[in-house]
Amino acid sequence: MNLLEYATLKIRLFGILREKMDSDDLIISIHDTSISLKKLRKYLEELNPSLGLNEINFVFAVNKVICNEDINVKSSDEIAIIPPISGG
Amino acid sequence: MISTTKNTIDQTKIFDQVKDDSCGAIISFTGLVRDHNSKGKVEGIFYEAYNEMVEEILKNIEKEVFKKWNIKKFIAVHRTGDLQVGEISVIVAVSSEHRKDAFEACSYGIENIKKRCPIWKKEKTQFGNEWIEGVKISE
Repeated sequence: MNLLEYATLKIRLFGILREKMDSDDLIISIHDTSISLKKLRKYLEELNPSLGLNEINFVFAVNKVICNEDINVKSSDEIAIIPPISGG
Repeated sequence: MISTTKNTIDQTKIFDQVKDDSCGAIISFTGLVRDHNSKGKVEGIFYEAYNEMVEEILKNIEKEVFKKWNIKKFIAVHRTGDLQVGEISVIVAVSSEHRKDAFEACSYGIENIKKRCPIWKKEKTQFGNEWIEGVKISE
């Protein structure tokens, strides 16, 4: 980790999560240029316990594609938390 | 034509758009807002979508149905916003020369919209408004 570098991530929220946060997105700063989705999940769970992310079977979408949590994301990525869906 | 829309879905217009003189069949699925759930009366539904991602997934579904079946036209439109009981929430319409292709493509279309499109609904009931517990999105 390079302490001189950091990234700001914008994470889009939908449905029940958007309503809980009363916001369309979360803005977070990380002390690195990128972070794995696995670490981001843990970070978000610790940072925003009120979101109740550990109780929701959510996945991440990166640039509009559902992603494996081993991948890294950076500030230019469009990141979204996708809670269970109920369209139709 | 594939999209999400805040506007009322006009079933007649969709029928006219999917119709083609080379086709002997049109099959469509229309999803409606029901007036009840397992607990009681439903007064309406609010639909929210990750529109940009839904449009990407609808494009993929469209490509898939054209690859799998011999169909002429494929239309899939999903409503967003506040809907009243009886309003159309989603429509999938397919035209083909023979009915079997349109039946199968239409069924594939709606099943995949329900499994893959990031859309959420919140029911308005006599007990308050409640987000519907959905299913984990499929890739």
